[in-house]
Amino acid sequence: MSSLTREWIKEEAARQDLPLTDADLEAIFERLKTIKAALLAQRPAKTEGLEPPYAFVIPE
Amino acid sequence: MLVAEAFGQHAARLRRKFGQYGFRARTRIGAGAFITAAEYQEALQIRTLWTSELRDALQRVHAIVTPTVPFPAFSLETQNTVPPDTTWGTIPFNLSAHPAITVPCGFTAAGLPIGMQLVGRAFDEGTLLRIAHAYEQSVEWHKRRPVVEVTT
Repeated sequence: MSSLTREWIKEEAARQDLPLTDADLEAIFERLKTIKAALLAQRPAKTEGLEPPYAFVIPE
Repeated sequence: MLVAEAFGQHAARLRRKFGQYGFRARTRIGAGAFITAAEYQEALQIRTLWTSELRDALQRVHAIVTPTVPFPAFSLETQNTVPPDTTWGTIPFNLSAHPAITVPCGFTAAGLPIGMQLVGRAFDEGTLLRIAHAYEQSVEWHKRRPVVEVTT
């Protein structure tokens, strides 16, 4: 999570032509912290064979 | 996944009309611009694992019962200010694409309705609807109506 900083969001927003206000940036920063922490907590130990299922087929 | 996909859909419009989106919408959708491809792929993998776990659990039972939300209904004022996450109970099954239905299952002491979510096996909506119907036939919750006060 150390890579997520307000400065990085600001630079990336400028690169993507997104005119964030300071309040936008803060709200997005907080939301990203939550999302990225949740992803990290659930990171699979093994990734082979975890391709997304084709259409709505439940994986075996 | 949701924010990355939502941003993908809205990206061009967001760039043109950022200020025309409400604060809540533009920050929720805009967060997707900062999700990396590796993170999106990781989310897809987590979804695959979750769907498999749920499929295994549903091989042992016909349905899983959960609260629809972990709190009672809230006021319109709360909705317009800082609403709680009403997707708490539903997102997991939207993610796995399992069918789910909510039925009324009671009221709080303050008279606010409570919902019970039933989740069924993939492609087995029929069983799920029969379970929900059987429950409703055994209770009266869905027949209760709020008292509407009319003022002039």
